Amino acid sequence: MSAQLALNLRLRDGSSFGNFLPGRNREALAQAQALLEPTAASGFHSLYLYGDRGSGKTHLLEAVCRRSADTGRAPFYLCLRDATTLDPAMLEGVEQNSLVCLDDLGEVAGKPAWEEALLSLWERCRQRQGVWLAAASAPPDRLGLRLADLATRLSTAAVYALHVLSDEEKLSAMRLRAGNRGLELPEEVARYILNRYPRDLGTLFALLDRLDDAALAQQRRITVPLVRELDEKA
Amino acid sequence: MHIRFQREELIKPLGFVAGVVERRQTLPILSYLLFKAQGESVLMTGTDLEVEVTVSVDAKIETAGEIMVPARKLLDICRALPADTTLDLRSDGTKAQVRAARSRFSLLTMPVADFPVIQTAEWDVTLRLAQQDLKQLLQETHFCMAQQDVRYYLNGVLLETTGKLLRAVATDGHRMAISNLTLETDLGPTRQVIVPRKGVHELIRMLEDNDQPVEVQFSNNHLRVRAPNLSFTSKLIDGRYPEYSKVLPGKQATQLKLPREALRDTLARVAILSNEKYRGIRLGLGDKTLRISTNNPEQEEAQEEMAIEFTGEAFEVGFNVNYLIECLGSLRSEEAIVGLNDPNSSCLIHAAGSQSPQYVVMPMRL
Repeated sequence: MSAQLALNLRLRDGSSFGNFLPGRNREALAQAQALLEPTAASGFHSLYLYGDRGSGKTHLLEAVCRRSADTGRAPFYLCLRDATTLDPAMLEGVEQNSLVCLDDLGEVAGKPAWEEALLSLWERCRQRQGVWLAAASAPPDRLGLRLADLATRLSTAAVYALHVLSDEEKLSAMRLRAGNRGLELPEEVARYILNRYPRDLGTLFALLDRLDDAALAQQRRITVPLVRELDEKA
Repeated sequence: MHIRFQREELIKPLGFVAGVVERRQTLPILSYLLFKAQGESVLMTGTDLEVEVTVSVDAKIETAGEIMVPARKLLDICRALPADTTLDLRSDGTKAQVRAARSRFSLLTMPVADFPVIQTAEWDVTLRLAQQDLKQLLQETHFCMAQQDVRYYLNGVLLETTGKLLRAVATDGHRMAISNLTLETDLGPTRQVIVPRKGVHELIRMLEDNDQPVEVQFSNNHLRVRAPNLSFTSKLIDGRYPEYSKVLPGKQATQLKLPREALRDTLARVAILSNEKYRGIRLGLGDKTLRISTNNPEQEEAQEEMAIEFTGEAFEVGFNVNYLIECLGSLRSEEAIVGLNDPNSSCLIHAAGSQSPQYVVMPMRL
């Protein structure tokens, strides 16, 4: 008889520029931030980010969307991993949003209807002088796109590679994210986690969520034994 | 400086200021009180650098001036003296001399200039309300504050003003209290401050149950409460408070109306045989019956039933019984409304006919 449930009081720590730990990705971060700068020259702006899982692509896309929403410009965001259940026709009229964000773009490579729809969206965005931001696992010419026109146009965007953080940087990132929730993640606990869990930040941040809940429910600090108990329960 | 006090006039205000002084200090000067004699009264100030309290006491001032006196020792002396004694306090170069009837005490003192006064910025919110209303607001919420939680912002009470509404919120992650008060003046957009645990406790201790006005002021870093003869300043907890309104349950499927004291007494009886550490009890809702039961690791069992208006599908939900007893004890109405949904959702408790205070209690999995 011990499982006290906790209230959902977690401080939200959504993806933003402030909690993006740049590591070697300083340049890409600066480019993403510059997209929405009011001082940016008028015209069509486009940025293409690629990198491995856990390198921060989605984080930056979400951060740009958030900044856009905060400044009163409704963003459009679509993760194309869900494309199989969607109709490409949904991209019609999307250019009305001043910011178009497409995550996991490579997921629709080789699907003619989607490629056509993306090419057409790119053109409409360019005409409306909007902002185009896309992310994928590889640069445009290595995505396996069938439509050469689409690959060419994507390559005209500012293309930046995102690098996965080093272990030391991951450690800092975890402690930063814990701090934003008002939690203290001692270094020894962060190291323990890093040594025993898959090292992609997605998994690590999900674990942080669970630790946050467990610490609140049990009114305990975050310690190695708490991590271990959570593991046994899982 | 030379002043005379009546023991009875001094002992209560001295208790307030000495209460702020921690038993163990990082700086020796924090174990002292500052006495300032000017005009008709004496101002006494105590601080722990987080909370500072100044009270004024009636005294006969022979010679005006300032002096520092060890807080705890003076309070102990004052308490140990017989009733209706006159205390005579004077500075004597390096010592503070206290005389009362045939007693003589010579106490250490420190330079007045070294006394650390909390520096406050401009106050940007000012509101006035009756002492007892502020006290009640804090009393209805304070017991839900966290104790030494790593989430430092939970170790205090949130005070929030929105328009004419003053609201206090406290939570330790397991339960939450929200209490509202309507003010006379409109304070405009929402403002939130988190008052630390110690400040809340000291305020409850010092505020009286009368309708004399107090002035409450916030700045970004401090809270000040001024009542007749009393000025209280506390640092605030620097942090974001969680979005507490998200935690309030929406419509609850079951609303039980129960006699508040009878329910509390029943819970207290059943609680005797609950697990001493986790304090778990079960509320079993069945056809027109609420069955409250528990057992402990020794397999002792307690069970009691209450009649309820309930005809839905039977279910059972577990709670830490202390949480329920404390909430019910803080309400003042004849009847309490207990709202439930299912074994995994929070329970909402408030008085029949009033939504303030409201208590949200998360269940336990039993």
